[in-house]
Amino acid sequence: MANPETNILSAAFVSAQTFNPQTGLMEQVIRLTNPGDAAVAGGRIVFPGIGERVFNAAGTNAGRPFVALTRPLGAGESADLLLEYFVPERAPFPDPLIEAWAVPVFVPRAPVGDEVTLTRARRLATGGLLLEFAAEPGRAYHVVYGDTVTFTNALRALPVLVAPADRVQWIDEGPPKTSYHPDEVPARFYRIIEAD
Amino acid sequence: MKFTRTNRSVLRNCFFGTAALALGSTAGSAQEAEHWTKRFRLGFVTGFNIEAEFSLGGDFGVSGIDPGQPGLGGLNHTYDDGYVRLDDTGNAGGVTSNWGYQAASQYDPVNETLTFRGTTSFSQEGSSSSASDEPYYGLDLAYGGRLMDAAGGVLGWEFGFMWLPVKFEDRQSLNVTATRVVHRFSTAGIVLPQAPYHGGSSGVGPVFGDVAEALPSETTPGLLTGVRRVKADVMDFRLGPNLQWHLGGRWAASLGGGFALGLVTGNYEFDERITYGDSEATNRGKFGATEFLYGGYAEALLYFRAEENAEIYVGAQFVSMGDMVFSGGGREARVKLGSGIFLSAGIHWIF
Repeated sequence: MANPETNILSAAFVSAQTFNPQTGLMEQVIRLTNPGDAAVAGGRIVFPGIGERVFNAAGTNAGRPFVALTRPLGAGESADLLLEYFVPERAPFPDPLIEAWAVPVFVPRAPVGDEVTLTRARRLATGGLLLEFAAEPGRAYHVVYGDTVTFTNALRALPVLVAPADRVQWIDEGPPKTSYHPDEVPARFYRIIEAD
Repeated sequence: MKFTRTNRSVLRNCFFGTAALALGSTAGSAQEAEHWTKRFRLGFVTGFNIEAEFSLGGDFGVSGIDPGQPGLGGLNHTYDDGYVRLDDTGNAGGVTSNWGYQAASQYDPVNETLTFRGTTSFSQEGSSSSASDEPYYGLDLAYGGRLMDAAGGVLGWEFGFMWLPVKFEDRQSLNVTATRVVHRFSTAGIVLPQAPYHGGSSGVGPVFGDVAEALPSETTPGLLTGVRRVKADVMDFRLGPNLQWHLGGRWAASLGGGFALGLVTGNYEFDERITYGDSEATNRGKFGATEFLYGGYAEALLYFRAEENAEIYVGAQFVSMGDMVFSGGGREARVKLGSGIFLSAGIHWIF
């Protein structure tokens, strides 16, 4: 990654950790804010020294997991990111240390591959959208989403998901998996692609 | 060593190959053959008219499932139509990701519960069927000696041994009445994955509480399918007199008979399924038995002199012994050895 700026964005937890029985994961909302005068192309929240697994981390940076905001953040704007932790005790742990980085634009382009049939799309009480498809346990899949049915300029949700069972439920709650929450866009279309 | 079809084929080829070589060599005279004092034969045998009668009646436990105790957490539950087991977290928080179900009918969306059924036993009023997988292939050998000249031939004695692996399968489908425990789990708070679903143990994925609520047991008709199988080794030891005549040229014949002692050892195995429309229970197990049997035999053989001390023979043998019974827990397989017919061929050495 080129030139991360560590003094532009700020981040703060805005919810307690709660257990989500739909995913088996602990969840916590963190707010990424751009208090500056200029927009930034994208952001990252990096977890230095976290002992728990950040389940929806997009990757690691020098061994430190991070989640990504894959859209610009205007001056004075903020975005809420739903963090997912895998905690074997299924109980809250002390909030981890975090760093907020402004980063150059990162566009996770949609991959090409064999498509898997979606068998269910259901709106949840949280406003999130649950997608379900039959899967091969242990196999990796990409969720591709776009604003048009033709999937022009479609993007890839982060991270790639590995099927824990023979059916996978994946929930779009917006960042950091997708660029915006489904409620914040006029329409969203999805495809599931088998990863290589 | 298990006596496989391939082994038998090799053995058979060996015998007949030997015979072919022997035919090409100089054959001895009939007069020379009359001076033997001992003899030995080794051959391949094919058995017929052996069958097993399977019967099933009574109450039977089912091995394939373990519904576990209701009302307690941290236990494994295995049902006909799904499972609720410990996941890799040890069901931390009292929930598990390691569960699965078979059919949408198990889910009550109003009360948000998932119901599982597990067969604990079944009953069958009584059935029987016969099974046979003949012909059976085995090995036959005999050693004997000369006693005296009698009735225009040679009176001798013979001690024989035959080994015959046998297998019988009963694939009859039976109507049974099954008793099933019924457990219910609350799935409140999750959108249930569509059926059928088989969750994993990773701890990731939809989870629900691992404490089963017991509902009244059900008595349900079911169809018992699968196989009940007996695999056994039949060994018989024979002792008795025989009388051999020279028929002229290179040909001779003998008749014999006597006492037969049988040793039968084997296993009764069952691999069954009880099906109920959209679910099934499995039931597997086995038990063994070994038994001595008694009876008699009669045999007739025809010999062709291939060379001085070797003959090719073909023969027929009738062996009658008691039934071998594999029995346990309401299951029985009666292997009927009362009128076994055995055709044999091989090499007969005289010396």
